[in-house]
Amino acid sequence: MRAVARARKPGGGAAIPGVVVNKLAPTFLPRTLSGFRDGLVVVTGTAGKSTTTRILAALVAAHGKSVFTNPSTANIAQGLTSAVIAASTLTGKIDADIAILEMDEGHAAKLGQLAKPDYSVLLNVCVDQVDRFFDPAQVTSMLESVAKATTKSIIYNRDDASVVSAVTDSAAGLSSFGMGKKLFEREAENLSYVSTRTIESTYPDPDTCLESVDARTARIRFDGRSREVALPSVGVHYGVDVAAAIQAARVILGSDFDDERAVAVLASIDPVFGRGEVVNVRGHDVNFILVQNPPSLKLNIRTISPDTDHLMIAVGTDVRDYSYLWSTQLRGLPRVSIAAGLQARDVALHCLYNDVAVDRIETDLHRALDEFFALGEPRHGMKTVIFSADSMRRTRRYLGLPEQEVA
Amino acid sequence: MVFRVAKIFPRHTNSQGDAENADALVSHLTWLGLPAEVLIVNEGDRDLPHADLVVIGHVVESTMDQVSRTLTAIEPWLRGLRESGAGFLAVGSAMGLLADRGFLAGTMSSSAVRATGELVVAGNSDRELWGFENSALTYERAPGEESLGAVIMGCGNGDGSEGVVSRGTTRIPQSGVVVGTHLHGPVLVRNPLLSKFLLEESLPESAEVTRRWQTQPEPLATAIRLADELWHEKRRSLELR
Repeated sequence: MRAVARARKPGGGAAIPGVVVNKLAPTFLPRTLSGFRDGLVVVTGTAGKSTTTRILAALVAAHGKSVFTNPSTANIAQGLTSAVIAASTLTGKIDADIAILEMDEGHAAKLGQLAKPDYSVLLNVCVDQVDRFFDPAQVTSMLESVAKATTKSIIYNRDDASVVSAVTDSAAGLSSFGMGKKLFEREAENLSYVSTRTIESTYPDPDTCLESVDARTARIRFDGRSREVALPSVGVHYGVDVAAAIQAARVILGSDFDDERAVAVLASIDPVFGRGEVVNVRGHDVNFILVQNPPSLKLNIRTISPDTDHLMIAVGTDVRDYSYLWSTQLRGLPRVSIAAGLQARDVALHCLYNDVAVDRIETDLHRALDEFFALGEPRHGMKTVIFSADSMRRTRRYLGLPEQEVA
Repeated sequence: MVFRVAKIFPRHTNSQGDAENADALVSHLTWLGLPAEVLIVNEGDRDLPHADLVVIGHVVESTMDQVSRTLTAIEPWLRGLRESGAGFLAVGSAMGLLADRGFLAGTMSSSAVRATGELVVAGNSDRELWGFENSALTYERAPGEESLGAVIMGCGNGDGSEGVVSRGTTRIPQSGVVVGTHLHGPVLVRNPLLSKFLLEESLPESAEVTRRWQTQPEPLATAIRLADELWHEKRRSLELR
């Protein structure tokens, strides 16, 4: 079976062998995923899956465990099966102690019926992908079925009321991450959870508590001590992701968890491409920012310096209906050099109604990129590109940047 | 005099950007040289000032009960506005919230099928209305309630018509207009003429709105041109006519 799948691989995309195997041997994926000595960890929710998974995998690996994890581009069933095939032996075994996988909510719920996760990390329910999931209530019920399938322990976001309701009836152990009282009152709205918990002064702190965030540094309290840790990029949502990963690592590793080692690992994590990474392209340093949903748009806007004078925003066909991005105001953004991509006019209108000037509208992304680089070196700030996932893939291909998102 | 546009409970009515239509109305007024501001109304707010227009966006099912309760708390204020001739825009399930309170005479019901995708309506003005719908709700108009037009593509009210235009019900006989629509998101940005209609129907300065709109000051002219380009692009991709 594996030989067949592998033979197909050079010619096909990442998902092709997965399709073949899922058809021919539907038990392949669940059987393989149930075979890890230290268990299966599933990370799911609307936003922050990639970041949380990557940090959690790094934390667990730093404690001497061999970790199998999936690249973020392969978080749906076919892609996941492909990743598993690529790593497994002829008998369908993967040589690793533990699997830490990010999964999109729908597939996590389905897979949960076949291979029960030992641990699940439930991040949030934000408005995203409405074409696919229709209603946040459906996403919440998917998280609920992941929670019910989890055998040992659930690590959940205490500040997201949808997540809290999803874990209420689960039999597994529960522990939480979230924001401290002050930070919650100031920032909760910016995280755009569909349903945020109410502000109550008596609410106890979560087990791992994000107390404050200052640029790429956060204070996080766990084990009764507050520590300063590095974030993979600027933004409160990264602080919440790191708190989720720390809490999950503490639960999974138990008494083996070493605070000092965890802090050191966090300081060494590189930003992911498209999540605040600076790349040199055609002789210019460029800050690439991926925006996948209203919360990431909202939080990223605040990280862009107001004196940035070469800014491009590209939104492509992955955003079928621009409406949900409209819920986020763009006020405060500097002048936009180019609104690009197939939804360039929506971007331009969005800017216009938020008093953000736009110099040019270009629906052809390649032409827009050429023009953006032809602008030369900016007088202030760094060249900055904000793009949707589809525009990111096209940009990467066009500029010859590496395909792999997760190292 | 500064016109005020109330944006009701944006934390619960903005999942598709519906609440931002309040800001779009303020932009249009400002661009016409008529000073205007958004009045954000949050849960628990009291002693609310007068507003000339009210925008209520779609509320998702999971928070409907909670929002309905908090809306009841400001109902007397809303009723006062309605009686003074303020215009209302209600998107999606907000049509039902207004119907339950007698601001609309029709009935909103849930349907077994969820309608998701483009919704195109043969508008009553020069240009079709378009946008997206994403709900499992139908609206049955009461006698005397007009629609926004006939559905060309999509579901709308579920009976071949889309939306509702009400100038008063038996419970609240009144001037000023209530417009309900399934078109979510920036409906007044995509369809500036609907915004013009709301302003003309709701403000005492109706003739002034009409006159200034005709002069097409910037950036209103750009906003209208971009919206028209978007619509033409959309019409091509949907292969309509």
